[in-house]
Amino acid sequence: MAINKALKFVAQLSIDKASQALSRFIRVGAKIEMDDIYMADISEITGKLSAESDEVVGAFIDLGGDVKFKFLFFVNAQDSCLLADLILRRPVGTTTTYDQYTSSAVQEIANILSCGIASVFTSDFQLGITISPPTVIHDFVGTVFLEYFMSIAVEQNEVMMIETTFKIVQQNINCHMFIIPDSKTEKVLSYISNTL
Amino acid sequence: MSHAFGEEHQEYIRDFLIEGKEHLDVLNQKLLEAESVIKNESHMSEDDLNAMFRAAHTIKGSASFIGLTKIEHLAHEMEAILQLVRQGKIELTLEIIDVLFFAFDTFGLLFQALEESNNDDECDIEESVQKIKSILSNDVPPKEASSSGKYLEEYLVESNQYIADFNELLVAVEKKHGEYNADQVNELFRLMHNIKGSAWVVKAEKITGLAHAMENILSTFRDKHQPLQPEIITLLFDGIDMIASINKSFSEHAESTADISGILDSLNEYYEKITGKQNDSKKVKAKPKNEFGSLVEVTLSDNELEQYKNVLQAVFTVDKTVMLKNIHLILVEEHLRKKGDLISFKHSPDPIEDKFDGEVTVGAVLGTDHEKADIKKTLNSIDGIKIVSLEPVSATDKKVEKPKPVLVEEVTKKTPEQKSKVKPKNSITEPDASKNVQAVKNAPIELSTIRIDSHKLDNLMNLSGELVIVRAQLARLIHMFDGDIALFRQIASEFEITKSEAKTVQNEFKELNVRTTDETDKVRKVWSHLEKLTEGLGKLEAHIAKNDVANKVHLLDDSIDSLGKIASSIQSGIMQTRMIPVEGVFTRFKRIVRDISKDLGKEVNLVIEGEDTELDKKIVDSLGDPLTHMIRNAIDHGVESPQARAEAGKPETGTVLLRASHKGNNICIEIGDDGKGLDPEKLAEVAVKKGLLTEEQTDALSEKEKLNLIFLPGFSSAQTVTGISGRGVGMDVVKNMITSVNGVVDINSTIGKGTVFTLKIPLTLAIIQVLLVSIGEEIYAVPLEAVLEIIKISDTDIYAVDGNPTIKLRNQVLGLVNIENVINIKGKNDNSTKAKKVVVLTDGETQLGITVDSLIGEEEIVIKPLTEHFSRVKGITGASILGDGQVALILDPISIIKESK
Amino acid sequence: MSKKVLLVDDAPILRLLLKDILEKNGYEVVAECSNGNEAVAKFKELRPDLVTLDIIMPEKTGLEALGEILKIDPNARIIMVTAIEDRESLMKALRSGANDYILKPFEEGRVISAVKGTLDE
Repeated sequence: MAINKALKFVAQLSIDKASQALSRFIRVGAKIEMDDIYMADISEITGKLSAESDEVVGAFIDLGGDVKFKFLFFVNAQDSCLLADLILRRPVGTTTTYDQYTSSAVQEIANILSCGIASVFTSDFQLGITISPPTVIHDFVGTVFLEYFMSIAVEQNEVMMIETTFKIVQQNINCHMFIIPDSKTEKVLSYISNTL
Repeated sequence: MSHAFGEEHQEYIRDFLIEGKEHLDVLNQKLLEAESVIKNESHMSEDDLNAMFRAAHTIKGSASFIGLTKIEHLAHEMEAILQLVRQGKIELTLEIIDVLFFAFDTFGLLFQALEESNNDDECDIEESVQKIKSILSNDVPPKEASSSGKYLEEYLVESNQYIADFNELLVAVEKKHGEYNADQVNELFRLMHNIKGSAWVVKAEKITGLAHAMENILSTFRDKHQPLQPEIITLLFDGIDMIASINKSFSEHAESTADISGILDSLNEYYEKITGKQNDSKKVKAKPKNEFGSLVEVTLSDNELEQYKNVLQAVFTVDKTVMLKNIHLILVEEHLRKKGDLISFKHSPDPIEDKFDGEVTVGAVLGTDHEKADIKKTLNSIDGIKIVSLEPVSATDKKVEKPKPVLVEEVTKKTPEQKSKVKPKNSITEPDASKNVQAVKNAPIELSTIRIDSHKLDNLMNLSGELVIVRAQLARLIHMFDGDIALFRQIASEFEITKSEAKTVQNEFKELNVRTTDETDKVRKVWSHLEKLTEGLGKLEAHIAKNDVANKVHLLDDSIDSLGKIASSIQSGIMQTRMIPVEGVFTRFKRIVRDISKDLGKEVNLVIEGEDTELDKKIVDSLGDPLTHMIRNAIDHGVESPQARAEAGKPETGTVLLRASHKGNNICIEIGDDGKGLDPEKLAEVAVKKGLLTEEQTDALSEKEKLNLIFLPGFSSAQTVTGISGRGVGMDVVKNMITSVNGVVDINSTIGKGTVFTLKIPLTLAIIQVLLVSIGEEIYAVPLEAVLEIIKISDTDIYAVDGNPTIKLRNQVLGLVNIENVINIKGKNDNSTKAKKVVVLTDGETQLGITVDSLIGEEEIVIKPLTEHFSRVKGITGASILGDGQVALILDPISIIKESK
Repeated sequence: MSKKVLLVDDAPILRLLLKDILEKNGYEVVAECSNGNEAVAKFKELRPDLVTLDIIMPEKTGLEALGEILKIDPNARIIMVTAIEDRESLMKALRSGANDYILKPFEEGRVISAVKGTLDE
């Protein structure tokens, strides 16, 4: 499908909502910026990413219902400790190792973000959306991505990728969020974007 | 200008003349426009008036700069008059325009003189100046509401609503004569104050004066807590009627010629009588209204009060920082429920939008066995709740009182100003309503509405209709691909065969090749050709696979499906916006019934039901007159005098019922009375007497048809024409009005028991369900509501009765018509004896068959009215464009049946 | 003696956050559960003064657990914990007997006043 202006607008809207939700959650100004929205060839992108060897914590969420998305949020493993501290309102640096709390922090943030995104569709476009509980994995970037793409329907060889980075006030936290609509949802999206 | 001008000065004058002429041109043009505008009885736009004013002003300025005193003087006078016009202080009349033209001509002379001789000594401006002066000194009566043209419409809508509410409430107050109800008087006062306020905005001075006087009287009663005396109620009715009539003349863009002095004098006299002081306009100030007491207002009977140890009224606020206000209100409600019976729980604003971020004020009335302190604790334990007041209601009070005024004041300041609307109470439908806990429905309502010009909606409606049509066209276009898909599939399968043929050839050649050992050049050549062939076939195969038309068409089909869904939601959405409750029309009958029954000395109780029923605005608007007429008839002719009723063993008070309800795609409005009923025989006699029908004709009629005689033009069943019913508007006019909105009127009457008129009206005028049929080469749409059934006949079934073709349908004779004869178009006469289809139509009484060639199906279509050329074609009400772009004429069953008689 | 609180939430980090807030204000967190089934079982066993109940949880949701706990003890004090987006469930919970609610992300002041109000303090 073609990425048009309206679609970008929908994406931006979702990301803004996610930003707001995140800021509220960690009580620190957070801004998520949309880096790029594009159609990517799955095999190409997996090939490129599998080489990356940063250790990250990622959370997958399936948004289901009227629109279906695969949602991925991941953060550098070290930075996930910072996120946990922010949530727990402790001085940054209190948490030092990856444990159930850091993983839960990533999970909650993924939850909050996907709720924010879902709210765009539920309140602004009157669609019904269900949100699956997040699955968290702690691994290399490449593996996380592989897992992520594995869950995407095999018949799809091209996906719409929405790439973002996070800016959190005073912290240099390296997080990313990817949203991939499934093929049916692309239809709904092009629909929505055509009605805008 | 007696001195000669210097060189330099002459330059200035030249410039002035050039510039001045431009301004004169503007003036000239605008004056001409103004003249034609006034002749058409409309108004100049503010912009135009401003342009004229500016022109005069600029001429004056430049003239004074170079010392052309005559021009300056004249321009000044002109400016003065235009200023008054612009400010709306005087109206631009043809007379004024004449004067302005005269002045304009004088300017022309002055300019000419300057141009020719640099000297304007010869010119005389005195006449022009005098003319203008005479207008300015003329005691031009101040105009009502004309300067504020653009607010006028808004004003009228608003003011008329207040008037309707006021009327309704005053009727209610009058019913409970002698009882003082603080809220009602307060509300009357508030409404009158609003009438005054909005009239002031548009400078309708007569109305402001009247409203002011009435407001003063109401405030006196309010302050003294005295019931309104019948005398003043009548005065107030007169006053509000006067205001309504002034408004009416505004809406017709006419000056109000009403003389208000009589009513105003009576009002002021009355005011002096009750207060002993003069009606001084400076003394009355608008006090902040207590919108807020209504939150805890309920009516309780003694029994109910006695069943609880305590009845508490609480007023509290929900802090604006609370995020989910709706949820929080549920929380509070649930907490209170745990403590007793929650008799009332209201909040303002109501409803609360998700994103509302202000403070919410809540009023609750709780019947409980707990102590006040307990309830206080409960409320205090809930986050974000601030108690404003918590007071017990004593068992002797019938009415839960308002919280102390001091507290009210405090809170009112915080609550944003809200418009409140009095909803009709159900006291008429439930005479013993006082036994029930009955919440007075006047909680403030936040109105978040936009007023839209109905033409814009009509336009949108039309466009959405077009959208539906385009979708259908698309769907048809897609089906054009069906052939291509089939062809493509065939090509693909033939290709498969060819490919396997080629394969066989190749294989066989291989074998051949193996056997023929002498590999000649020729064989090699053939081999390589064969290879090229298979290669080519392979490429072709890939092409075919790539261009999967079928799949693409499917995708397109999907999109068209969705397009259809959206188009129909748009359509129904727009339709929804046009729907308004009939309440507005119904409510005004309370006043009308009051007036009529008073005039006729009858006691009538008006019962209104289903006033929430929604209907297309256009239809609601057109219902007012016919309903008024029918209600008048019901009271005048239907309901008997109290003595007659008593003699007949009926209650002395008659009942008139006005009920609206949904019936499928239609709205039913019933106007019923429990009066003497219609006597079909009498009606028949009258019809004969009036020469509308012969005796033989009436004898042939059924009872129902006799009842329907009252719809005949020129029929009026009243023996004596009273001032109310006999206004020259007969029931025929009523029927025409109803049929003009595609409605049907039905009468049911029982002698001695009463009469019920039932109006069946479609929900909307824009879309109807039709049966599409083809007759000859044309497609016709038959409104589905008129279609009884469809039958198949053969030519041998048709008999001629009096030369008219008829068939027998279940032992009943059914007339047949040929549509082409009714609407007078030439069609080929189909004389074949093959089976024909007949669509049986009905107008509620008579049945008629029309022969059709084939049935196409049911569809919802958008009606496009026909242009005037076709308006006289009988049997056709409109046209519609079908999915394939074909035009279908919409048949009018009623007129077809009428024609065939 | 400090009042006993049972924390129910499927996210460890939110439990930890809530626990921090409650303990700082003098409440004793007697147990933490991560789903509705556990919650009902722990309630039976420990009879805490207060339960904070997340609505969206695996296995058994907070709404279901709410009903079961109220069946065990109709006077149980229960505060629902939920994200702002989930109005429907929250409304259901309040209608079916939850005492109060707190929204995620937690605000200490609101948490404490909800707890105090529910415990009649």
